[in-house]
Amino acid sequence: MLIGVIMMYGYIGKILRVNLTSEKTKEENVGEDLLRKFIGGVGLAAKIIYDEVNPAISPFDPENKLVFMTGPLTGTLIPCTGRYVVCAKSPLTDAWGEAHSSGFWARELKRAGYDGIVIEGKSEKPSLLVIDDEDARIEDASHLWGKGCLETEEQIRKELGEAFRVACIGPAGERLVRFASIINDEGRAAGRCGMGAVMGSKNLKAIAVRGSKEVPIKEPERIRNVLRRIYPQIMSFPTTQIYASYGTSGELLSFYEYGDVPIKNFALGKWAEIEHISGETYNKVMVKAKRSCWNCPIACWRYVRVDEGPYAGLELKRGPEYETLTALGSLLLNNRLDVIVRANYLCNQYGLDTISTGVCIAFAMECYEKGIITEKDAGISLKWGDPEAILRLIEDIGERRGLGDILAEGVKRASAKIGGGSEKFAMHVKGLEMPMHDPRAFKGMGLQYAVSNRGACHLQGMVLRVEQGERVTDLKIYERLDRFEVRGKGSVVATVQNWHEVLESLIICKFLGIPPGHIPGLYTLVTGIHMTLEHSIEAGERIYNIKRMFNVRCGISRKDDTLPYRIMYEGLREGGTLGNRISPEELDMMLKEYYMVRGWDENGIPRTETLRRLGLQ
Amino acid sequence: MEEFLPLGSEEELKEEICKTMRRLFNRGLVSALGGNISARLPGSSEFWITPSGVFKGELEPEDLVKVDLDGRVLEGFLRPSVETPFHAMIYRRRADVNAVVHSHNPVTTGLALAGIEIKPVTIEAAVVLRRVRVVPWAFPGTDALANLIGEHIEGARALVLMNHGVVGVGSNLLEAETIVETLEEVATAQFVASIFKRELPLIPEEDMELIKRLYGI
Repeated sequence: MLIGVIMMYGYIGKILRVNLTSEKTKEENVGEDLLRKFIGGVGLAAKIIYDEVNPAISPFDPENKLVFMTGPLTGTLIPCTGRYVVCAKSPLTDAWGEAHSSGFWARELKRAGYDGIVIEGKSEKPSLLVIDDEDARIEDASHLWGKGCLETEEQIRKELGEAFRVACIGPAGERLVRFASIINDEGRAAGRCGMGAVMGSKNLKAIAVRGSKEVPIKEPERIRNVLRRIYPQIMSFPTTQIYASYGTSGELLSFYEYGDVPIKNFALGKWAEIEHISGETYNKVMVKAKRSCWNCPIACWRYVRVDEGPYAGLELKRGPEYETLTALGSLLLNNRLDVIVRANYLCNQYGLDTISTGVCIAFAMECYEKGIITEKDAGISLKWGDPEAILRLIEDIGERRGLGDILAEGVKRASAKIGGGSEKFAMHVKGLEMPMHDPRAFKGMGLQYAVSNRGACHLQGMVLRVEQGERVTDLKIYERLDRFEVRGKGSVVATVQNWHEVLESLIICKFLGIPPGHIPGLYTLVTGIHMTLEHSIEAGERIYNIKRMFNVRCGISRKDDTLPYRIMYEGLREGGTLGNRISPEELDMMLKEYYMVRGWDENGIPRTETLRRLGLQ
Repeated sequence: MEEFLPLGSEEELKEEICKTMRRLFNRGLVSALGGNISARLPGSSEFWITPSGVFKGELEPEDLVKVDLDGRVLEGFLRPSVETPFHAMIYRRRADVNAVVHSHNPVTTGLALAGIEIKPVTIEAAVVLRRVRVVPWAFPGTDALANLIGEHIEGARALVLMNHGVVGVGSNLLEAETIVETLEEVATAQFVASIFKRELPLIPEEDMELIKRLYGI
């Protein structure tokens, strides 16, 4: 892994290793051969965790490692490269965990002189990691413990300087809520898989970064020349236009028509109130301005302010996205945008994943409706759509109070504890709560959820785009696939998953409408390392498989590649899913094709020859 | 001693592809995002093609991508045109073809959309273009489109692609360019005439017979 000092481009070639137990930090060089095989970003993080984390340990064991990683494109002049990934063994799934966030923090880390940070051990007392260019030090953060994420960031920047960028946890992470998030840049979230809880288990409150160096680029002039001339195409891409105009909420109504938007804990296919939370309404009523991450021409963030009602005056610099609008809206039969904004604010302050929070609250409301839990258990009536109940439960989860303490364990563990048949509507895969795309509307998404390494994940593939009719000729996806058909889905899911590993290793935002064929060339111009499309796709497959191998070592196999009961057995009478469900037999058919395409055995374990072909053995 | 580039070098070929593209762009036959060109040295099983998604009016030789007849990228850093499969198909089917121009001729494409075929209104229409076949719709960039073009390209110099554009082929770039340019000239004349007159005065029958005998059309 170690090489001598050579000039690198795109990459810094250095990782900061921080041991919180010994309070020591050290720098490590990263070799080009490793970068060729795993690219960077999530690929490099997966390699580190696979090599170094004992799969048998508890996610809260100090031996678990929390790896923050950027990619070779991060912080460069390539657009939409302000993202980072954070990985560890997940407290929700007890297997591979990863979460992604955007903003400016990642660029700042690169400018400080690091591609990534590996956090090891556990601090004795609340601590703050400060990285000021290459000066890395651990400071006491006792005065910040207990503070909300937005306050924490504000306080740190006041103390250290406005130029610092901060990623931190809130009270939820401190209390080991299993779906606690890490919040950076005033409300951007690395939400999924409980990475904030792992950070909390290490007593690490925040990482503040300031950097003054430019990320070196091999051929900046050629890149500028190319970018200038491919912008007309990039900005003409349909979803890019939607995100630029409306943000991610822009697709809410079209997804609703497909039956894709979950309503009432995935139990309803239609909801008369849906327009109250649509992108059009949201942008008209709540949105005051557009904002963007580092170097992004799309600007999908929305700056929102509540003008009327009990929360009048509440502002969010990073307003609710599609997932939050639905997880804290339609999923709970909550039609009030102001309540969604307030709920989002609370989640950001506590440091809670809005998707998992919404799913846990929906689960509690259904338990209440079915009489499995009572008002006495909850301390409040949990009627669907009740603003007081929603906001109170978020606080209870963040504080680990009463019923909130049970829900803070995630919907899988909460359902096991509450019982009463509630596992039939506990919406998760492998312990990760379902995102806001109903797989009964797009069966390929069902397969994607079932097999994704981090559990129910809509981002590593988003195969519904192909099921909507998108052709990705560079990946040899030529034909539109019927969304209710199961044949052919195994192959397409594997293909798009591999490609998304590439994007998340580089790291470049998926909202940039740039065809796969352009990516290797841009990488080559940035790094000076020649890459072809075939080589990058193979790296994506390697990365996907090394994560699977980590999961296999955690005990994951075919038995875990499944879907919630409701998705397999309950069709919706109304709405765009047209009564479809994904029966266990259909899931089995898709899995068989998928395992075959992947070169895994019938139990979902990568075959020796597959690992050998990918250089993983 | 002075050094000369050997006649027909790859560098010259790349320069010429870019020049051709600029000329077509300036004439409105390719648009900012639509149209692509490829060319090969005679006898080669590799060809240079314009990149996908790059503003067509300002292409430079270093933007071009070299691919083999299976469409595999051999040189260049940009994404090759999405229509690489049909360019490769044409070179596989037609050893005589060394250049393929796919342009978005507005008038020719418009006539095809209206179901009007290109008629022998001028000598060029009859002699240069010969018979212009219309290829039915297939999604751009797919093997399906490549196969359809493969079926229609035998003996043809020009094809109209339904809802898409046109293809001109030639033994060199100037010839392929001439084809798509002539096609648009003829289509425009036919279009203008059709505004004023329902029945177009075609080249007299006896002259057409002569032309057909002479040129084996």
